[in-house]
Amino acid sequence: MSIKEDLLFDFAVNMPRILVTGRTAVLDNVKKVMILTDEEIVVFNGQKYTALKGHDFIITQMKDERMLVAGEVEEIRFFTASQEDKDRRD
Amino acid sequence: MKLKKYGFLRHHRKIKIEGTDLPKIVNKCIDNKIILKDLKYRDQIEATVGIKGEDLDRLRKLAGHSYRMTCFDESGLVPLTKTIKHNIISIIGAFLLGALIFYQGLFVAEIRVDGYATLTETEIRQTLKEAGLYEGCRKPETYNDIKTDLYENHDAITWVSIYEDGRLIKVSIAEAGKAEAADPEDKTPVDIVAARSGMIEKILPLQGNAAVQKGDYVNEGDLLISGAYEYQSTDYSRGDEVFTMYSHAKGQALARIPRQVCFYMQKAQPAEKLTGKLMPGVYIRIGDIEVDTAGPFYRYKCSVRNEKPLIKFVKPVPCEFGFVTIAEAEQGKKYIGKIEKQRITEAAIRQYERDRLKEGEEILSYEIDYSETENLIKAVVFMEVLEDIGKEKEIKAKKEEKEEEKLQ
Repeated sequence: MSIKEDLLFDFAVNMPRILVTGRTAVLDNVKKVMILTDEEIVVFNGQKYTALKGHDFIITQMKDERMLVAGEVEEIRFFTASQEDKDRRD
Repeated sequence: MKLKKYGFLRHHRKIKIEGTDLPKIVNKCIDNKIILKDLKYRDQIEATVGIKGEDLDRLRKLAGHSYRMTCFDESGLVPLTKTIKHNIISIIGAFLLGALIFYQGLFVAEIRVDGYATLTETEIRQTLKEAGLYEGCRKPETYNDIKTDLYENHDAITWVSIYEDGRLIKVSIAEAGKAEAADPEDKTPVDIVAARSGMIEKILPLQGNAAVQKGDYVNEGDLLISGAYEYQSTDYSRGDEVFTMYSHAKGQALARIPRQVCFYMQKAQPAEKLTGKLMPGVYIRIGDIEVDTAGPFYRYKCSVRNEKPLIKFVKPVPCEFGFVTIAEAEQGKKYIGKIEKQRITEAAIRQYERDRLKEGEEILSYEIDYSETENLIKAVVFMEVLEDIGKEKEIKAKKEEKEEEKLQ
């Protein structure tokens, strides 16, 4: 990875960034929680959304825009809101 | 705050949040920098979460009336202090119980003695008590002094072991067997002759022939048990002559012997004379601690203390409660009365019997004659003693017979 890419990666504060290891997932840049159940977590990262699907989810820590999730992760999806949604949110 | 460094000391709360739209309250926490831990989704309207102790009030304000929050668990130094404060009586009780259990372990609850054969348990326990080991006493650091006392007071004891099993003290002893103390067999030909004159009461020959019988009067040097046997040989070549065989005579010859013994005792003995003044009170002893209501208040130079225990037990902790009287006394002299004089003399006679007479010997009867000097009382005791008067005397066999024996 070049320095430029590295810097972009570190300073992309409104973009989804996720680290998954075994039964733990670390979600960064969490601006807002949209859906919260033990099977699905959807968070808003500023520009995009991150959706985790699985089961037995427990948020072990929620601190400084970082969310630590324990549980079986089956699916990760990133998506953007439609213009209609954006307008509704605004 | 320094306490923040130490996680286990920090004040944490676990709360239950009830209400619709849980993400909304989570978002409010994110916006207001409230750290959430172990957020568990229970159902659509219920979740549990861990927060810092001080954040609960802020969270309640943020939630308003839309959510219901119940704290169901707390941890850290602050709630621990509160718990201690609320349960101070229970904690003190537990501490006192622990202290009692520890304290009772310092005292002896039971003593078991085993291994004795000729000695009695009472004798051994008496020696232990005199050495400071009894039920209810404080456990000694070392048992060496007690062992030494046992060895010194009982010659029969050859080995002692004292060990603790909790509050139980086990005393094991071993005594010397008779076989160990027996002398090697002496085969020198001897007779048993009278060491002093007396009337034979009992003759018990173990080896040899009795030369006297009950009722015979013997003088010093008379033959009592003979070690010489006369016999006729079955060897025809030796003819019809009577031969003598010699052996080491053994046995007891108990005779009635008159004895005279003198005992002296003081006419007057120092004694406390009560003046009639006394200080009554109660006392309580728990282990080493003693509280006495009479002791600290009396001002008598000389006093006699009398205790009347009402409650006394050694388990779980040695305790004693009772009445005490401290009576004022003056130093005086107590003159020995007739009964006291008799008692002292009889005790001296018993002591004499224990010290001087051997097994099987005894005092059959006695008479006491008292005479007094200025300060002393003289008790002359005339005794009739059943005593073993036998003593060994070597047989000087005739030369011819010795030669004959050699030939045999």
